[in-house]
Amino acid sequence: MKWTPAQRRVLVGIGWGAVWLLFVVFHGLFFTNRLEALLWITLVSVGPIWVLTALGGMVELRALLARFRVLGSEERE
Amino acid sequence: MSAFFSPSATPLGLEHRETVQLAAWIGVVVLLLLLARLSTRFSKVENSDDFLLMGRGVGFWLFFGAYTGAAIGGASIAGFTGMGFDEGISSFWILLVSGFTVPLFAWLFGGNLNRFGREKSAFTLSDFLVHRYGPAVRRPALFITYLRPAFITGLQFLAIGTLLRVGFGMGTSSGVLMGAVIVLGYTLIGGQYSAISSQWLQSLLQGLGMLLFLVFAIRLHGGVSEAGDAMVTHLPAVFLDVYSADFSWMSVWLISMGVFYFVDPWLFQWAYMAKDPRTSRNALVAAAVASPWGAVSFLGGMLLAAAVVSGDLVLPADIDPDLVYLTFVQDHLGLGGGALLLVAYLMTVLSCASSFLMNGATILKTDLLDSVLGAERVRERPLLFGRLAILATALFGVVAALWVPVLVPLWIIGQSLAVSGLFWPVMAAWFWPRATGTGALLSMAVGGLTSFAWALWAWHDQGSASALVMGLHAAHVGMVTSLIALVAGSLLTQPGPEESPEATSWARLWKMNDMSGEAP
Repeated sequence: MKWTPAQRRVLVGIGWGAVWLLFVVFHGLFFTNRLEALLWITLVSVGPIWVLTALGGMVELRALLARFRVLGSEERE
Repeated sequence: MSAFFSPSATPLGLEHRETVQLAAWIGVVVLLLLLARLSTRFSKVENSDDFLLMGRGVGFWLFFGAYTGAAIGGASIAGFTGMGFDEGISSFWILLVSGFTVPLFAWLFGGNLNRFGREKSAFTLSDFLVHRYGPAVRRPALFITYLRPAFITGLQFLAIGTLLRVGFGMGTSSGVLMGAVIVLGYTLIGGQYSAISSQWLQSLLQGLGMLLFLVFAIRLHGGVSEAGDAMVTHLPAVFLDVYSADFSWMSVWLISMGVFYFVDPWLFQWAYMAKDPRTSRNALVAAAVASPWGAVSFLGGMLLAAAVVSGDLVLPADIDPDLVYLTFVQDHLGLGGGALLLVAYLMTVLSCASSFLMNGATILKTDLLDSVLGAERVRERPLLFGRLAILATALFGVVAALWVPVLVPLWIIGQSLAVSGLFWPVMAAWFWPRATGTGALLSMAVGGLTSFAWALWAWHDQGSASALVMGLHAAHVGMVTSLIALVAGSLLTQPGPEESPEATSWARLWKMNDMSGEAP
């Protein structure tokens, strides 16, 4: 699926919104000593971060490996 | 499925521990084969930019994953679990400080450093200082910046040795050597390409391990609500109060876990490696504000402590807090969970080791080999000298791990030295055009030496290099003397012909406002 620049901007905006919301909520709970809520937010947030890191990294790694494959085949030729 | 997530309250016995270790060994071998295969794909690297900085082309997600994997080391998992177990939530402050300062560093300097690196072909923090103050500052900067990554590499090798002894039944020395061989195996082939892609993969495993560890710790109590109640019911009040920390140490945390990151040679290298200024800034900000990752180990440790008090978990009465994590994983989890968490822990240490090894090797190659052997000669065979620098740094790490019994104090001294000797010269390079090379040299020497002397005094007097003497830490003293030396030295001297305030001017680089990866 190919994203248009406008769609990409919206996605990136949502991503940053989520990141800063997590930052504010996490630290708000920490500074107000709400440990059970801190436990919940930790548990709920690390999963999506992990999935995004895995998917995004896989796309970039595949592109990198493809570049080196081309480099290798050019060298053989 | 439910049984998989249910830890045993009592130790499952020696035979179970050995089975877990065997399964973990198999997992480690499979993963190492995978990493070796991945590394061979990158054997076509061509030049120093490629080998040491991944061609200045690290994308957002690889950056985010690899940085998180490298920033969370073995000490962060076992050590922070132990701190949560032993001291409660207030121990989280030490990590919280960096959660605020690294994003600030990234926002202020991440994009600028990436632009500077492309413009001047910079590899290290010393390159930054040399372009501003001239070549005379390279050697002192090399000395100050190399020590920390080299000692951390040694510490990670030692952590691998300890893990292989406790978790896999090997001798510590054999474990240290094996750790070095594993890390060398993949970094020597593809340099930073291998290191970053391996760190990304390792970070996924370590993240999975950390998440599962928290789930297992919660399961000891039943569910999340029960776990929250158990903490309140069974833990002492000071464990639950974030304000019970000893805030007389706050200024030390602010310097060693905060201000330090503004002159961290490792962060400078990350900023240079990103594929463009935007990635350099954003990935570092995003990685640093992912605070919940840091909280996992602390909260897990607190939940284990609550379970011990409530009788839901039996651990040896006199257990070393640093061993709580490994003991719980090996003796109380089922075969699959125990082996997975052991392998994830080893990957955590490996990712940290390879990242600091590459940082030390980059400093050694750029700031020593290039100037001693001649940049032209090194440029003709960049990969050979890059590999030699990796080997030399790994050797330093192995020697330090095996024969230097005071690695932690040395690492602390290295960190004090770095912040004391570099903070003001670097800030002046960004913001103060009147600073001179002589002032910067004086600042590095006076700040570095006074903090070194103070740390030695604290070590001798109080038994710890990071202890306070007369209420002051080595970094307090070093930063004050360094600032005085910089201002006095600069106002009393004139800039030399090789100095260039424009080269590192923060305002000039910021105004470029170019977020693409093209060289400015």
